[in-house]
Amino acid sequence: MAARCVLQSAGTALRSVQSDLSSKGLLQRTLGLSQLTFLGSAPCRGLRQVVEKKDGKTTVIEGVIEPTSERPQPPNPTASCPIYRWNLQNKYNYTDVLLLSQFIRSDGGMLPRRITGLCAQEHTKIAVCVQMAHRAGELDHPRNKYCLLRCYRYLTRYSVNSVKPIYKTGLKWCKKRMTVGHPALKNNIRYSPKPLYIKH
Amino acid sequence: MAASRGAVVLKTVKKIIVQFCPFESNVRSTREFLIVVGSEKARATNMNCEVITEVKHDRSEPTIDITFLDGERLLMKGSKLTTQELLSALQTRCSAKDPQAKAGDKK
Repeated sequence: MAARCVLQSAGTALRSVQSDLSSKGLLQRTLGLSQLTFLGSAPCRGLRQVVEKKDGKTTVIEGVIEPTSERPQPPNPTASCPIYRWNLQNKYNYTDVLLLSQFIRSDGGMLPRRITGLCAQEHTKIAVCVQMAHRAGELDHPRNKYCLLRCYRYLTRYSVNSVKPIYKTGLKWCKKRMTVGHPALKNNIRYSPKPLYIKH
Repeated sequence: MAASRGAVVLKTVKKIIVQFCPFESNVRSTREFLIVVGSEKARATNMNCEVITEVKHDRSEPTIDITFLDGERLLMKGSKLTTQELLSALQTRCSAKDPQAKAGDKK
């Protein structure tokens, strides 16, 4: 819907992984800092690699830090929240899965605010969008509670088992309204003069 | 964590020299390695092995220099390595060197 730039997480994953040296001569990668704010607003370093060199009878083992690749500069680097840094404040929806998937854990839950560095309003908005995306079946990590119903966009507002699909909405004077979307996104950019319409 | 994988077996080690500057910030793993290797359990596995600590104050890198009984040397620069990695490197080399006797006994 809105133009979104694919934000690089640059290998500085938000979960820390520890691995031991499995056998001689294998290069292992371990992550540098275990907790990094999103897009590295904290000073971050690249991945660390354990390097083993053998000359004659002496073996030297040391850790070498790889240089980080060049990351694109965000258009507004002096903001604390990553969404404001990339000027995406009111431009995303529940369908922008590429953006939302950067703030979720591997099992589909949201990451805490102190890890991602989001401000409070954006965190709630993203949480709401992630929830709607799960219910619409758009994210690949299905949580146990949400089954994969791909129809009925209004099912994003309520939890899937709590409402039944409206097969016949009725005529205009007796219409069964279904709520679509969430009022948290009422400030999103609209290119038409009409306000955000929730009760469809 | 370091003790959970059992005490290091130093049967094939002749000498361990641990050299670091205690006022640097990157010596944590080296210090913990020294604690494990200098413990009573580790020293009890081989009474002939010497553990020598050198305290320096010249901002040099922390190094661990291990000399084995068959003359091989293992030099580990501990500034960017974790304690687990240092210990597991030592463990693998020790068990590889003194393998046949040990593995035969265990089996």
